[in-house]
Amino acid sequence: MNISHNQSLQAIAEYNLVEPSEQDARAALQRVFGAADGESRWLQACAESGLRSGLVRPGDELERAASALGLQGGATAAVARSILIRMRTFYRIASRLNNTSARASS
Amino acid sequence: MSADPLYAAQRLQEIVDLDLLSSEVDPILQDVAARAAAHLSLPVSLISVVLDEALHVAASHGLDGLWLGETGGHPVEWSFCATSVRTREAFVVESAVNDPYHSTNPLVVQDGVRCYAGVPLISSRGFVLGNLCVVGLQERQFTEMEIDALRELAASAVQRIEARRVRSVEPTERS
Repeated sequence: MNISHNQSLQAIAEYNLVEPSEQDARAALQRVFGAADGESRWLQACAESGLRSGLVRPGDELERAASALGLQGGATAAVARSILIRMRTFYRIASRLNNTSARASS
Repeated sequence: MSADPLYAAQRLQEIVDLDLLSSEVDPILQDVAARAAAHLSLPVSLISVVLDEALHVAASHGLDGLWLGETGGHPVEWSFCATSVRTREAFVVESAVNDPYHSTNPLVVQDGVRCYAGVPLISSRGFVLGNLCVVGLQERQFTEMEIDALRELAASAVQRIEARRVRSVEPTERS
């Protein structure tokens, strides 16, 4: 998956969207699997993607962690897909709105 | 853990077991979506898979050139289809701008969705996977016959989906 990131935009008011974060991913896992099991799956994903839990940055690093979560299979893969869809939506709409405002100001 | 069926691990496992997150487009499911849109004379139809935090588009008709066609889904809080995961019933919105929940939905406010009708896709194990739905850009009334037609098409979609069931789940895999 190739998600185009825009580091400068952290929220899109028109769509009531904020840039997906590590905290969002961990909360999603805990909602489905419970606190301890959800955290265990997150730690495993971080270890397998060479990232440190608590220090995963939005964008490329979160995408790597979510992709590693997807490889755990089962319901974890479904949660991972949710995270990736939310990321893809945020960056796609951010890109479209940026292009619109660039055209308007040129 | 939440008691909301949206977040049930068993339901999400069922979605994976049925291979519904595959990137391969199933031409039969695409055809079901196209037939739904044509039958109700609406521009867009989806076979949606409702995940915990997002809607995943498993098959569709009418998304060419739209951002949803590129992202393959959207946040679950925008999803009309999520209602059926909770109610297990058809969900109809004839005027989205006047709907108490969806009147502020960005798909309505920003992207012009005005009407929606969806029926749940329920697996043989009893899990609501998502919906077969149609979406329009003008307010519209739906007849019971139209909803019944959607139900028939949804049944054929479920039949196709069940044929994809992954029969061998890794014994070490956690659900």
